[in-house]
Parts: sequence; C-alpha cells; structure tokens
Amino acid sequence: MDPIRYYDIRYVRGNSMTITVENGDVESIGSNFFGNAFIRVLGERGWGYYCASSFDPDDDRTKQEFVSRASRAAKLTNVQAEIADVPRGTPRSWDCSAMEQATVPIEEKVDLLLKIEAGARLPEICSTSTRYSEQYQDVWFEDCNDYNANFSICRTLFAISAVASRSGNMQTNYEQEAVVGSLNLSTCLGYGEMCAKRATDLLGASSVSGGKMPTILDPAIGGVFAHEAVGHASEGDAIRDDVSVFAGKLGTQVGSPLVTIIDDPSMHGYGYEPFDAEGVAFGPTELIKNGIMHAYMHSRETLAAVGTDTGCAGHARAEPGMQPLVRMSNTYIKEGDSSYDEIVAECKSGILLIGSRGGQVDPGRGAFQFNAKYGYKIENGETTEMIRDCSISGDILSILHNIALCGKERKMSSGICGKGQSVPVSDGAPHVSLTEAIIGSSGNV
Amino acid sequence: MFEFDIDAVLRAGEEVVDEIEVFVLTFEDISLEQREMAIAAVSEHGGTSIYIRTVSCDRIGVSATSDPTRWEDCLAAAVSSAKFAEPVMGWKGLPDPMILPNGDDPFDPNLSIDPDMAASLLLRMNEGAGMHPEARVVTACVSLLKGTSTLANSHGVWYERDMTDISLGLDAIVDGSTGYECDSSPFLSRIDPEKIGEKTAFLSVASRNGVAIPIEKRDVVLSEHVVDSLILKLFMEAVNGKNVITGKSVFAGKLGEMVTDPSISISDVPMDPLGNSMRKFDTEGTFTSRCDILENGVLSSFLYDCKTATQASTASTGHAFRGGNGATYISPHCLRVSGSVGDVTREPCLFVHDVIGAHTANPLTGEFSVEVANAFLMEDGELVQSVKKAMIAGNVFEILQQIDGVSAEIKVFNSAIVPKMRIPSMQVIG
Repeated sequence: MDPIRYYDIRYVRGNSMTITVENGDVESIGSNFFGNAFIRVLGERGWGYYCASSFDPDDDRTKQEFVSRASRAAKLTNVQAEIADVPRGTPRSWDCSAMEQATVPIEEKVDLLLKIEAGARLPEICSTSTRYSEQYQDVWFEDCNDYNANFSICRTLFAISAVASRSGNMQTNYEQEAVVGSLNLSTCLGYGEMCAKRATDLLGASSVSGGKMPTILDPAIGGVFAHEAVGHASEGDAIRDDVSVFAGKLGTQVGSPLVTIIDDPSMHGYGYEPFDAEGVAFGPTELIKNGIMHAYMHSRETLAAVGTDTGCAGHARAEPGMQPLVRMSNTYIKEGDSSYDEIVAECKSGILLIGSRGGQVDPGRGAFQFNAKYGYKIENGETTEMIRDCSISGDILSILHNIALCGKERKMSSGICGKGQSVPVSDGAPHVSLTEAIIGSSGNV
Repeated sequence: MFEFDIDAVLRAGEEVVDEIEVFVLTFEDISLEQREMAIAAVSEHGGTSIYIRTVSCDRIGVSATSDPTRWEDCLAAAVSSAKFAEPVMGWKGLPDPMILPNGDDPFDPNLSIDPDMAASLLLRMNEGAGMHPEARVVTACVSLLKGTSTLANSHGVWYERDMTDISLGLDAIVDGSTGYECDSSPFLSRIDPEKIGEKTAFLSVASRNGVAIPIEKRDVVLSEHVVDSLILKLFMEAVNGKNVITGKSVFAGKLGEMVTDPSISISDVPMDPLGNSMRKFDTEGTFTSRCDILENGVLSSFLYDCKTATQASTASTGHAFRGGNGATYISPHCLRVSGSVGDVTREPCLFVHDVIGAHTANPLTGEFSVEVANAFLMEDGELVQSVKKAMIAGNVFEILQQIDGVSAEIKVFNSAIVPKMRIPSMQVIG
C-alpha cells in the first residue's frame, strides 16, 4: 500500500420525513433513509476519496478495504497537500437529537399543518402550500490517530407559501422557520395568515426604478450579505487560491469601523454542529473586526496552506457522503447602537429592503447580487410605498465601506448554502444602513 | 456486498398494497479536481438510490433510500405514508407495459470510469486555456459517470436505461476578472475540452478593464446559458402541470392563447439525438414523445406526470422525474427553442454571457433583476468593450412577447438545446 499520512472516516446515517400540504389536501408524506460513509486518505501527495452507501462502523475489514480504495485514488494526485495539527476541542454536548419529536404521531403534525394552512385562505388567495420536514442524523467520525467522536442531531423545518391574485396580477409570499432540534408547530399557527396578508399586500406594491441610492438592509437580507459576500470571500480555499478580494488583506481596513462579522458553528442556529466534518470543535471566528480583516475560516488543509496565524480550523462542512469544504455555519453582522427609527430617519431618501430570496457572489471579482422579498421606499426619513421584486448588487469592499449605521437588534434566519454541496446555515444582522448601493428592479428608468 | 433484489420488493409490496413501483438508480463515478494545474484530489463513488411508490385505495405513498440494506424500512414508510395522502380522484393506475419508442440511451460504450481518461480531459482543458497565457487557471474538475436506471412495477413494467456522463468545468482569473465554463454530455465525441479551456481563459482576459455604462434601456443579447438558466427555467415553472392545477402558474387557463411573440415555438423532444438525456420512458413508465408546448406563440400544452394528469383530467405527457423522498416532480427532457433566426449580434447590443443570481428570479411572476458577468458591448458581431458592472432587469413573460431574433448557433444543456436571444429595449442598470 502507498504511504498513508492521514485518513479519516465520516459516516452519516439517518432518516427524514417530509409532509406536504397543498390547497388543504395532504399531497404527500415521504421518507428518506440514508447512510453514507466518506473515507478520505492523504497519500504521499494529495487526497483520495471514496464514498460508500452501505457501511458498518464495526466492520474493520470493510473499513480497511475502503481506506485502501481511497489510498489508491490518492496515488493519482500530484499536488502536495498538508494538514495543520490543530486541537480537536471538546465536542459540544447540546442535546439536539429531538427524539421526543420523532414520537409525536404524524396525525398530530398533519392536523397542525392543515390548521396553519387554513389560516392562509384569505380573500384573493388562490393557492396555498405548507411543508414540514424533520431530519435525524447520527454522525460518526474516526481518524487514523484513534480519535473518534459522534453526535446525533435533528433539523426541523416548516415553510408556508401563498399566492394572491387580483385582476390578472399574481404575487406570492413564503415564510419559514427552520431550527436545530424540535419545532413545535403549534407556535406557527399564525404563519398562515401572516404569509397570506403579505402576498395580498404585494398585489398593491410597485416596482422601483433601479439605480444607485441610499439603502437599508433588514436583518434577513443583511444576513445574506454577511454570508454570501463576506463569508464566501473569507473561506480559506478562496484565500489559498487567491480568488478572493480579501486575499492578502489581513490586518487592513476592509470596511467601516462599525462592521464586525462573525461565523460561529457553536451558536445554536441552523448551522450548528457539535464538531465539523474534520472532527474539530471550534467556537466563533471574527472574520472582520471593527472594519479590519481579522481572520479567515479554515479547514485543516487551508490553515496549513495559508498560514496557521491567519484564522481557525473548525469550518469544514460536508453533506453526507461528500468531502469537507471550507464554509460558513452561523454568520452574522454584530449589533451596533442605532435604533431602527434613527436608521430610517438618517437615510432620508432611499429604499428599505426586507427579506431574502437568495443571492450569489463571485468572490474573485468581488461582485454580488441578492434579491429581496419586498421593501419600502424611504421619503423624508419615513417608510412610504411598498415595493416588490428588487435586488441589490455591488462590490463587496465598497459596500462594507458604505455601512453608515448598524442597529441594536439582530435576528438570525435559516437557510441552505449551496457551494457544490447543500448544507444548513443561518445568517443574520441588525438593520444596516448603506450610504449607497445599486438597486436593480424593472420599474421604468 | 449486499445484493438488492427488485423482485423481492415487488413481492413484499404486492402483499400489502394495490400497486407498487420501484425505481432504482445504480452508478459509479470518478472525479478529478485540479489545482495549481495538477491533480489535487481524486474521488470515487459507487451508489444505489431506491425510490418506492405504493398505491392503496388511490392513495399514493412514497419513500426513498440510498442504503439498499434499508429497503424494508423504505417500503414500510411508503405503505404507511399512503394512509395519510389524499386519494387521487379518478386514479387510473400505474402505467402498464408498453412498446417503447425507438432510439438509443444516452450511453457511450467508449466511456470507462478510468482516472487516465479523466486526466487526459483535464490536460486538454488546460491546453485550451493556454491559448490565453495571461489567464491563471484556478481550479478545474472532470467527472465521469456510468449508471443504469431500472423501473419495475406490479403491472409488469420492467424497463432499463443505461447512461453515461462526462462533466467538465474550469475557472480562471486575471487581474480580478473571472471566467467560468462547464459542459457535460453522455458522449465523449461531443465534449470539446480544449474549447472549454480556451473560452474560460478568453472570458477572464476579455472581461478586464470593463467600463461603466449608464442606466438606460438598450438591446441585450442573452447567451445560451442565460436563456437556459433564466428564461427557460421560469417558462417551465409556468407550464409545469402541478403549478397549473394548484394555482401557481400565470399560464393557467391560457391554453390556446397567444402568450409569446409569434416567432417563438418551444417543444420538448425526449429522444432528440442532439440532446443530453434521451429517454424512452419517464420515471413512472409512461413512454415519452414529442410535446409541443408553445407553437408560434400559442400555448399548446402543459407538462404532466400520472398524478397531476389525473387531477387535470388529461393524460400524462411523460414528464415524471424522481428525487428527494421518492415523490415525482415534473421536468422537461430536451427542450428545443425555435424563433426567427438571424445574426443577433450584428446590430449594437449588450451581450451578457452569464448572470449572478438567476435563481433569485420570481418563479411565479417572472420578475428578475440580476448582475451581469462577462458582459460586453458588441457591434457587427464583434466584442467592442467589456462592461465593468451592471444589472439587467425585467419580466421573463414580457420578454418572451418581444423577442428580436434567436441565433443559429446553439448550445446543448442537460434538458434543453438553446440559441442566444436578442431582447429589444431591456432595462440595464449600470
């Protein structure tokens, strides 16, 4: 066998159950049973990976066979990779297996979903749907140095959408709650009406004219900025490959002194994990501190490649059966000291963006785009007309420097990050005021 | 190694439900990741995905597993879930065995899951990128896949489909200007690694020194990729039969009406020999055939699977796909877009090769506002000047009513064969 400098095995076994209700009927209740082992071997030069579906952690013979397969794959590589020797930390012990939730009869969950959805059937609402899913995972990790750890985790999601229609004009809205651990659906009973009202309100909203203007981001879209624009550009692999506008910027001012942005896998948000996909348990990392580039997020490999004084390992995450990638967990802009009213008043004339329909970033170019669920015009320091279908785009560094005020209250939102693999994350921010941003919308120029 | 037995699932299911269906996908693949112009990681994977569907008293239950040893859990969950599902009124049953259309599977016998074959494709991409030496290739990836899907049901259906896939991608950067290209095909002969490498490097080099442009309405030409990921994606949401029957489509009730420019026709041609995913049957055993969705601007058909077709009192169009927890979803096989063919970049325009944020477009209303990437001002078919930064905004359904020509050249994607489109007077926010 070729030299094996290191190997580890991450096995994830579990099941998920999803209930979908459409227009008052149970559309489907589907289950998924999964079990994926990911074996990675650091050979003489680089990595070899092997993924197997059926796996028994106690079967040493099969385990060695899989390690051998990954080792043969590693033999084909010719880029020298190293991994930093980092303390593993103590796996966090929060009990989030939510076993009590699994024992609640499906009938109860279905009944609650139907009640919530019924609340959305307001006048002018022509379509409603709700989705509830719970996913239980048992994660088992071991490496060649006899380190092993495991944890059980549950993630629960509830989402509702409503479509409103008036004289051929159709608008849609959705709301969701996603948590680690249990989610008591009875606390979501008001979501139906809330979702439907927003969809109906959007029937009367207008498109704004695009262009540069003072902009306020609410906690949801501000959080997407923290995740997409700052988080992805702070990932160790992007820094190592010199495809981030933050590469070489450690210790330099990259934004307003008001800005501190943190990624924290220990926070009990949707991106929580007791340890990362390399078995490393690490707490919060201040990526930007008071406007200064403070640290990057790393895996053990990127930490070794970029420099052990450039940030922290513990930020490697992976979908079951896939290789660890450097990425975010729970990312947020730290609170400031401005009230919401002060922020709106100070903006004078501009736009308030609310909620997020997602976004995308090109870290190498430093460009990003996020779409808001809706918003309001700001005129004479007050919110006025409701607007819809608008996006914000810009240059990461410019926007960071344009942050003029940060609010006192931060909220986190849950979502899925897709960097080749899909993993659960959360992000958040207080209300953030930008002196200028580019707004895209289809209103008349 | 555990041997999964489809017959055993069918037998077990037939004892407890009216109908049972098993869809199995087995595959093996190898992926090579390149960094620093050399192979940095090699990944091998072998897997099986099993989707089970049961029907009892017109109630459909679904379940899935990626672990064949857990098929009994999977079957039990499908049976159990059917008890809660609303009955599908008028359910006509799972498809019976049929004579399938002629044609080949998307399978290349010359493809082997071989690291040397993958490495040679990487090398050829690098050689293409070398045509523009100022560009630095950052990463590249090659994946080779070989698999078989099997569909069996309690009515006697037993269909198999072989498939291969070659996927390539490469990204490059120069002076903060980036480029990315990817391609995939079932057939080695249709992959052009040198072209992917060359085009990626070209995009990063040509996009340097971009200029600012004013906010104004101007003619825009969308690349094949943007047409596929933005225009066609939202159009398909509106003709998806499930969205139509649940009140989530702006096209509901508009069959037979003119909904786009009369020059535009869109068909789904499952066995199109130029396509990437030829299918003789969909994932519930309905045989596939050409489906004209839009004929000269007139909406002529929606896409259905068996369940939504029953709910709409029509027949399945053979567009059931499978994923997630085993429930079907509706998707096209190979869309063909035709229009008034011309030299779309002869007159001055903003050419948009790619956009950031296509997935954030409003799937119901068609509204979008996205950031352009690798965009250029063009005249007489030539790139005149790269554009530093801009957004384009509009409404897909309104855009489709004013298409100013499509290109003769096309690009093949996984579920579409697409030309460039010229859009007059589009909103550009510089």
